[in-house]
Amino acid sequence: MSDATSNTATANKVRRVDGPAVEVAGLRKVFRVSGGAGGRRHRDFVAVEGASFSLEQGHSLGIVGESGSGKTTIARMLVGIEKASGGTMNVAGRDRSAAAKSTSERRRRGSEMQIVFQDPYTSLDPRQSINGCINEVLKLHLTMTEPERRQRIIELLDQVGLTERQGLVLPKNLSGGQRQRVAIARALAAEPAVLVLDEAVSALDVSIQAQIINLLNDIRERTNMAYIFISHNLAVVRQVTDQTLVLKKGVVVEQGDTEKILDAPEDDYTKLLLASVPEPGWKPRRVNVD
Amino acid sequence: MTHLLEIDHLSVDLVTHRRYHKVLQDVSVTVEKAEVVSLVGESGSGKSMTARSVLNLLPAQGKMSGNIAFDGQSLMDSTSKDWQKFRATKAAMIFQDPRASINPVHRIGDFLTEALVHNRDMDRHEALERAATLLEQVGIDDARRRLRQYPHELSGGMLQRVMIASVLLIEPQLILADEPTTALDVTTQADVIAILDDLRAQREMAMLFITHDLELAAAFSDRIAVMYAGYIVEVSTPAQLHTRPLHPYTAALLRSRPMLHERTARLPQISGRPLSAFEAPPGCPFQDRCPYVQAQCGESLPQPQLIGGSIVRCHRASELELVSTAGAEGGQSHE
Repeated sequence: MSDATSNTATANKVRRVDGPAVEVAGLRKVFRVSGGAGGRRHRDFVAVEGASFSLEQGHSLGIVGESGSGKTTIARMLVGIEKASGGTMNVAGRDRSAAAKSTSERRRRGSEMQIVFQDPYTSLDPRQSINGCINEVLKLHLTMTEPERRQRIIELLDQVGLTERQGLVLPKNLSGGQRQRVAIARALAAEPAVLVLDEAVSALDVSIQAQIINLLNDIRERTNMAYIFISHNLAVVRQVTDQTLVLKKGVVVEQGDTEKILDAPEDDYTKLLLASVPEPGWKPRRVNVD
Repeated sequence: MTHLLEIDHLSVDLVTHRRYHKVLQDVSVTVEKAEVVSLVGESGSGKSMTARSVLNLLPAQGKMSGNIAFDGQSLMDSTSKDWQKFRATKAAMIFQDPRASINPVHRIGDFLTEALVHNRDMDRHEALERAATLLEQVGIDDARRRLRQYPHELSGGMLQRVMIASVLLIEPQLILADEPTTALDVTTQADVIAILDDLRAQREMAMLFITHDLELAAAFSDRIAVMYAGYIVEVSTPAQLHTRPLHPYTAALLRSRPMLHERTARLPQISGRPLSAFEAPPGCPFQDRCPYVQAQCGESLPQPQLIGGSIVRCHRASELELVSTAGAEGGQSHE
């Protein structure tokens, strides 16, 4: 594997990994939901059924599907917010199939994989300045002196297109697009091997969405970071990923190269998803999805 | 000829933090009988406020100037009772989030028949019959059982169909739809839009459709009005808009969309962020983000002009040759 290029002024750091950045096999999640009004009877709801994929450093995997398809559940299991019911997960060469047993293990997992959420309005602490929020991550995951951290914050802000001045303000003083840049800068601060983006551009206006998509593509090119890009928007998945996995009700119906899946889909559900996207010449049709 | 809806030089100011802020500036647009007009724009552009103004649903202390006329009659001097009657019979709104706009403690049947029983003095049983028929038309099976259910027992897509049925039930001449499918999955969106457009067309109802999605608007609108910072910057047909946009903002918006069928090495982005009306500089509201900006753009507000059947607000519209796709030109990405 070639070294991450560092031809820009800011050093772009990423954890180096031998082998695949992410390897998932037979991943499964079962939620227990109350069955009736009495609350005594329970039934099992299978949110994810046997998902397997492998993602190399520097590549980007799209996970697409509609609401209830299990795409966010996969992300939540990977970062450890949700416990897997079965299967194995390996990130940056280390197993994380079971919950972390110690604080240091949890912290190590955090430095291997970071996540950016959909809503930039609720994913930042409203009382913490932008610098403070990034500083906290640097303190937690890296050993740096105070001046080093200050320098690194400026680099990170610059990398996502924010100015030093904007680092001093509170999230409320920034627009939605700028907040999402902060969330990305915060995730990059931990120098993870893998970045999980859960509908990270879905809530943004079209003109801002284009800026963030370009930013994400730039960062991946410069740092060789791996992305897991969760989205319902196939056009965005086309721009940001090279592999795609299509989920329907927790089951993987198709996976492979993004281009192949979007240009020549084999599964009927993938075809339906593609046919439902409004584009020039598109006419809304009554469909019956079950 | 009288228009079904005529919005004429409408400006709206709203109070935030005890100060008046402009949200709409000199908005003029018409909707004809059975016509679909879409208002397209980014957040803060004023598209929702335009629709809300038509129904007088502005927040308290909102100030409106200009004129709104329905079927040739000005609505500006209406009393609150007139407005109520207008909303109950002539024009009705479909909101983005059905869960926030349908009372959760009332059964679906009560929600659907309320307007008919109260405003039309219809017999309750007859109203329920009608509601059941319409639920089936909007694609809900087992309608009679649904009428007895509560909103929480229905999915978002189902509930939005209920919302559409409730609007169709009062047989308005004009439907205002504010991002009605934004919260839905794509396959559900296709279905709901198809149903809405079919049933509306059969009944010859007009629609003012609000969306941020240009492609969706293009799929079934007769005309599209593009809004930016409280102004309408361009009004055109979908075909015209996509082949020959006249306003630099429209063109930039079209180019910055990620394409489903091809990967763009770098999306042409619009620098900066969308502005609200009160933040707009004097002169053209788009000048700070416009690649074609000249001195005159900062000096005077461009007035609407008619070019090849489209209306556009840009000083340079007649000289610029804009394109709508990223591949069609080279160095158009402006940082």
